[in-house]
This record gives sequence, structure tokens and C-alpha cells, in this order.
Amino acid sequence: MNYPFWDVPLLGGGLVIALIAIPHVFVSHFAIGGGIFLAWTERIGIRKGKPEYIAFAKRNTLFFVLMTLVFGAVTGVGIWFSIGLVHPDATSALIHNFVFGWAMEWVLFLVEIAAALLYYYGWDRVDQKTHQFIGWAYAGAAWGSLVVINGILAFMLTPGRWVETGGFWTGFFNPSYFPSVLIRTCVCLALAGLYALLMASREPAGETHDKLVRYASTWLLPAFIGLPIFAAWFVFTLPSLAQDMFMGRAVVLTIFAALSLGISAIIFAFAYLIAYRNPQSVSTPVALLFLVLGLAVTGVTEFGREAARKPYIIYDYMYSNAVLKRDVARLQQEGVLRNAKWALVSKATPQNALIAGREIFTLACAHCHTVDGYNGVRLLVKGWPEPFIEHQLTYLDQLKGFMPPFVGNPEERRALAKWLASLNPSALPARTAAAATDSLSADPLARGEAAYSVHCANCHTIDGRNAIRQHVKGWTQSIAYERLGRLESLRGYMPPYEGPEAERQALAAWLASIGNDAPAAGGAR
Amino acid sequence: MNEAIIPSIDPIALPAPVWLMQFLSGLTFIFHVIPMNVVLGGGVVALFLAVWGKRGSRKNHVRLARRMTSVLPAAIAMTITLGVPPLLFLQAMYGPLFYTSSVLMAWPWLSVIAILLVGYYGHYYFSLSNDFANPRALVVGAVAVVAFLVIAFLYVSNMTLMVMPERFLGIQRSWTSGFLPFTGDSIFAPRFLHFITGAVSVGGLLAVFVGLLERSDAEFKAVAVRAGGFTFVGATIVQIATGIWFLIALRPRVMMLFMGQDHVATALFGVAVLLALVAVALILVAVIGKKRPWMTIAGTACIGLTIIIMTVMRSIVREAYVGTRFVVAEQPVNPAWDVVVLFLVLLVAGTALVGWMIHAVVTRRGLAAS
Repeated sequence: MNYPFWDVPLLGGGLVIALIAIPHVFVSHFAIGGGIFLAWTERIGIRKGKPEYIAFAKRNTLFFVLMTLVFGAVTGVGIWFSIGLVHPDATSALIHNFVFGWAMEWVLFLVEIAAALLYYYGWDRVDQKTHQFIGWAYAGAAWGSLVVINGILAFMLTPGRWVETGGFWTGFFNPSYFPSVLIRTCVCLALAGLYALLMASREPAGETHDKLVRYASTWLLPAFIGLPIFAAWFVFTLPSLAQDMFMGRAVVLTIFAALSLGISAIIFAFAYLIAYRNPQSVSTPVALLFLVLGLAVTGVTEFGREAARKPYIIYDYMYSNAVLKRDVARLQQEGVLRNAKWALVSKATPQNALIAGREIFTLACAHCHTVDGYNGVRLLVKGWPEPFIEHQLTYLDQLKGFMPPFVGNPEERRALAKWLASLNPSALPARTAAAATDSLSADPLARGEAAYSVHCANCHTIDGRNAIRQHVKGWTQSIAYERLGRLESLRGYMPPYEGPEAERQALAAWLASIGNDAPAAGGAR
Repeated sequence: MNEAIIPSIDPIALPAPVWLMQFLSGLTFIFHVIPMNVVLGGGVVALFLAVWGKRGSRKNHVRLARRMTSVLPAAIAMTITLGVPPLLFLQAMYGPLFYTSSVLMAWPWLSVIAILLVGYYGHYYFSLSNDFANPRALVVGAVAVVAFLVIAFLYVSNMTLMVMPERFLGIQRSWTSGFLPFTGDSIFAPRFLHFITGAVSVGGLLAVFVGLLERSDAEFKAVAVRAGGFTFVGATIVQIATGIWFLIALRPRVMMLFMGQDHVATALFGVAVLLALVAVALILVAVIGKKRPWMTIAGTACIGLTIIIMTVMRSIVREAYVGTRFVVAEQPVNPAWDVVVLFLVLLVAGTALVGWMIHAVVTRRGLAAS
């Protein structure tokens, strides 16, 4: 709310960042691994008298140099541009804390670029010893840039004590710093190996082809051994909510983690069973396929790592919607609109509810949601009556752990609910909608059912998943009434019931009625 | 809509005094702007020479264009790499202005990345083509040149908008917000043209140096020095004219700073104009007199000094435009000297290492020789 919001229809800002960041992460890791690969391969060629290794390193230098200089550098700047547009507050916080970290990374990048170019131009100009030195300078600077930038990336997920103390080094050497840097190093070597496999596969069939393919496949060995250990260490350092999300609380994240593991396992199996044991069978299309799988695993892993940070952009400090954690209570009192510099209205009223609701959506939700595209909110609230939406907003962080708390005041919450409900004007069956909004309905069971749809139906169905009928079996109205008063003590993850008294009575009556009824034909509602 | 809305300053204090960050920002900007001018102006001049040379079968002009383009890919790498720190320090100090103006022209601003990739690969193609025998090379070269002109346009647009916070709200409320670059101020056109003509001047100097470095072919040397020299002189005269236009287009209170109201600003302006005129005179004499490379070097040094002074003037204009609405020096600072020193040590060590490596490769004297 401090900065104007860049509205990216359909895609959303997050996907714009991902579209630039994923290729960059792939190429940059690959380029870092490439620096080490070239220097090491040349070294083996010199030490062991294997000219084919030297020739192989020489042939592949231009590609790595071009990847580093052009694509790596430009997309790296691209990430910077995109995060500044999508998350100016978070970018500003990172830059204020780590400006000299970035500056150090830049020095290392400068050395990397210069060394890479000189390594390329120096092949036939300088003696082997000097050329090797330049090669190691290239590799060392490239890896050094990873060592530095990793501190800032890991900080966003696990800032650790920085949240209380501040300071460069506390944030830099954060809990996930070391496992992250080790994971990334393994990935660099593996990606360089996959690329080398592709290049080796293009050699004419024969001894050199097999030797180079086998040699390239050994570059996946550090990742094969190291990744499971370092990944387990990494997960151990994560905040418990992020761990839970990986372990099933956020299904998409669990799927991404499983995909990352599965694809990695396939790549390693290929590297050992085919490339190492049967190098003669490695053809260019197969090697290319596995390089593409390398890109895929980079994509899902990065996506998962970014998603694990939810509901924060900088953990425990700033939420995804750029609201500082420490400001939430204040904003829930004062309201977001009053604190928003760029909003069309400064207060939500019944008269301006739809305009205010749209503005609040932009301020509080649009960093992660679009209206109709990626994570589109229209579909997410389809079928939800307005009071139910408002209830969801009230307990947003409790119902969905990966979402931040709603940061507006009650009037703003109502306005947002109204606007969200207006996205699907005819979504509700008439009876439910009328019952939900008409608290004076004569039929207490209808009022009870409406209250159920508002307060319970987000997590429960009547007869399907998490069936409410099973939970209330045998309850009388008085038991139901009593238990509605202490829901949070029945199950720690349930929010307390906070509806009006009359509605609680109606809901208790309805619960008692279904608890003693047979299931309706037709199953889950 | 003329109310100036400026986002609040980040609650995290800056890790170094503002003066140090301004110094580092200015210093690195100078190192960025030199290769940037080579890319922008060198590309324009090389493309013109290539097209003109091919049309009239002027072999030496084509050869000159070919030599100039060979410098461009490395110059682009330098431009990008050396452009990182000034942008970094700019964001640290002027975030509330810079992020806002960027968001207000988000799509054009983000498109810089895609355009840069096109221009970068385009110049590689352009530079690797064999004397532009394939007409496609000229087309790709033209695309690359246009790409860098567009990038310059977008940078001038954003850097101009960021110092005009009174424009922010009007743009944010407009339906074009995020879609169009900012051109709606009278300083935009002269500022853009001033920088473009400056780049073409540097492109001319590049041609002169290609000529001066030629040892065997006297005819080629003469053509290169002459073509480059006249390009430099012509473009610099136009640049001085656009500079005057730029000065007049500034807000009167800002213009007056350079017209005597502020002694330092006025002195800097005077020296900059003088140096540019001296450079023109030196290069003109060097070109006509043919055998005076020291004059060319002295002229180039004058241009180097002018760029340094212009960088300081640019920062004076920025501060004056924003005025008291955003005083960069008033930001909270909590120096982390250990980190600053580590950066400086790394910078010195890294620069020394790069210097040694360049020396080793260029002179072919490496570790074995020592």
C-alpha cells in the first residue's frame, strides 16, 4: 500500500517473476557448474595427459561464456526489474539490508565475466599454467557469487534472529544458509554434467565418446550423494508451517516436492544405469531429454521453494501482500484504506462498498491472486454467499495457513466480501442465499442450514469429506449449542464460533436434526 | 492531481552514509556510461558506415564498420555489468521515487530486458558477419541499433519520471498506467536527444581510435580518423545545441542554478561546455592535421572529464527537481562498516585480478613467463 500496484491481468506478478527467474536459476547454476567443469576438465587433461579432455573443454568454452555473459546476466537483471515492479516494498527491504552483499556479488560477477572472456580468448594465447589460473578464477568467482547471493535468497525464507536483531550478518548466515549453498553447489555440478553429457553424446561413436559420456555422468555423483542429505538438513531448518506445507498441508506444494524428488531420481538413475554403465547407448536426443528434465526439476524446485515462504515474502517480517507483520494489528484497527497512498477511497462505507472492496482486493490480495487468471479469485469464491466470504476473511490465516491474516478493519472486510460476492452474482441457489442473508427467516432449520453454509461448509460437507453428519451423530440441540461455544477446544484447528446468539440456536437445531437423520440420497453436499 | 505522493522511506536504515553511496553510485555510473555510449553510439555509427559503405562500394568504410562492431559485444557485457552498481545504489537511496516511476511504466520498463536480449544477440550476429556480405546482417544490425535506442528512450523516460513525483498520481489514475513510457514533460525530448547525440560523439571517437590503432594501412587509417573525427565534431556540436535546449526546458528554478544562482553548479556547467568545445577543437585539428594522435587523446580526455562533470550535474538536477519532497540525505543510516570495508577490499582485489588477467592475455605473458 506504500507503492502503486502493478496489475498484471491473468498472469499475476508472481508468475511474471517466475517466468524470468526459473530460466535464470537454471542457466546461472548451469553457468557456475560450467566454470568449475571447464577448469577441472582442463586440469585432468593436463595432469593425466588426456588431450581429448582439453579439446572437449575448449570446444565448450564459448557456449558457457555466452550463456553466462548474455542470458545469465540479462535474465539476472530481469529478475531484479521484475521483483522491483511486483514487490517494491520487499525489494527495498532486501536492498536496504543487503546492498553491500549485492555489491560484493557484483564484484565476483565482474571477475567471473572478465575471467570467462579471457579464458575463452586465452586458449591459444597464454601458457597452460596461466590459462588454468584464469579458469580457476572464473570458477571461483562464479561459485563465490552463488555463495553471496544464496545468503540473500535463503534469508527470505529463514531470516532467523534477524527479525529481532536486524543486521547484515545475522540475516546473511541465516538458518538455511549452509544447506542451501550446498544444495545449490550440487545442482550446479549436476547441471554442468547434464550439459556435458549432451555435448559428449555428439562425439562420433567410439572410445572418446564413451570416455567423455562416462566422465560427464560422474558430475552428477556429488548431487546424488549430497542432495538427499542437504535437502533433509534444509527442510529441518524451515519454519514449522513451511514444513507442514511440504508434508501435505498445501497439496500443490507436496506435489511439487514429490515431482522434484521423482524427476531427480530419474535423472540420477539415467546417469548411473545408462550414461555411466552403458555410455555407448547415450544418444543426443536422450541427453537432450535429460537436460530438459534438469530444467523441469529446477522449475518445480524453485517454485516449491518460493511457495514454501507463504504467507510471507520475507518470513516473519513482511507478508506476501507487503504488509509488515508488526503492522497487522494496527491496520486491523485503522483500516488499510486510510493507510493506502494510492487507493481511490480512504474509507469503506456501505455506499462505496464495491469500489472500496476492489481497492482492498488490490491492496491485500492481488499480490497473489488475479481476478480471472492465475489463482483467480472469481473461481475461488464461486458459490460462496457474502456472509460466508466475510467469515472466511475473518479467519483467513487460521483456515488457510499459507494466507496472511486479513489486514483491514471490519467495514473493509465487509466491503471486500461484498465485492468478492459480486464477482459471481447468481452463484447461490435462491433458498440458501435468501436464508443466509435473511436472519428473520421464519424456518429455524433453514436459518441453521444457512449458518452452516457460512460458518462450517468451507471445511465440512454434510455427507462427504469431513462429513458433519458423522461428527454430530446423536447430538441433541443442547449438546450442539454447548459445543458450538467451545469449538476450538474440540479440535485445536477449528476456529471459535463467533456468530450471533439467535444464529447459534438455529445452527444447533439444524445440527441436531441432521445428526439424527439418515443421510440424504445423492451423497456429499 | 498535482499532489506529490511519495512512498514512505524503508524502515530499514541504510548500511552506509548517503555521501558514500552517492559517491559509489556516481563513480560506477561513470564506468557504466562510457561503454554504454560506445554500444549506443558505436552501433549507430557502425551501422551508418556499413550501409553507406556497401551502397557506394567504399571498402574502407565497410572495414571500419566491421572493426567497430567487433568491439560491441564486449562493450555490451561491460555496460550491463557496470550498470548493476549504479542501479543498486539508486534503488537503495531513491527507492520511493524509482520503484514508483518504474511501476507506473511497468510494461515498457520490464520490456527493457527482452529488448536487451534482442539487441545483445543482434550485435553478436552483426559483429560476426563477414563484411556484411549477407544483407541480413545489416537488417539484424539495424534491429540491434534500434533496440539500444529504445532502451535509452525507456531509461530516459523512467529517470525523468522519477524526479517528478507530482506526476505520479495522475499517471496512476490513468487507464494507461503501467502501459506507456513517460514522455509528457518538456525536458524529455531534449534530454533524450542530448544523450543520443552524446553517444554518437563517442561512436565517432571509437572510429578515430580504430584508425589510430591501425599500423599498416595508411589509407584505411586516414579514412577511419576522418570519418570518426567529423562524426565526433558534428555530433558534439548538435549535442551542445540539444544541451542548451535541455537547459532552457528545465524548470526555471533548476535552470537558474546553472545560471549563477548556485556557484558550484554554474562553474561545473561552464567547465563542461568549455571542455566540450576544447575537445571539438582538438579533434578537428587532429583530423585536419592528420598526424596528431596526442590531440585526439587530449580531446578524448576532455570528453572523459565532461562525462564526469555531467554526472555530477545530473545529480544536481535530480536533487533540485525533487526538492524538499524527498531529501535523500535525511534517510536513517546505521553504518555496517565491516561489510562496507569487505566490499571495498573485494573490489580492489577483484579489479587487480581482472587487470592482471587482461595483462596476461593481451601481452601473452603469464605465470610461466614470470
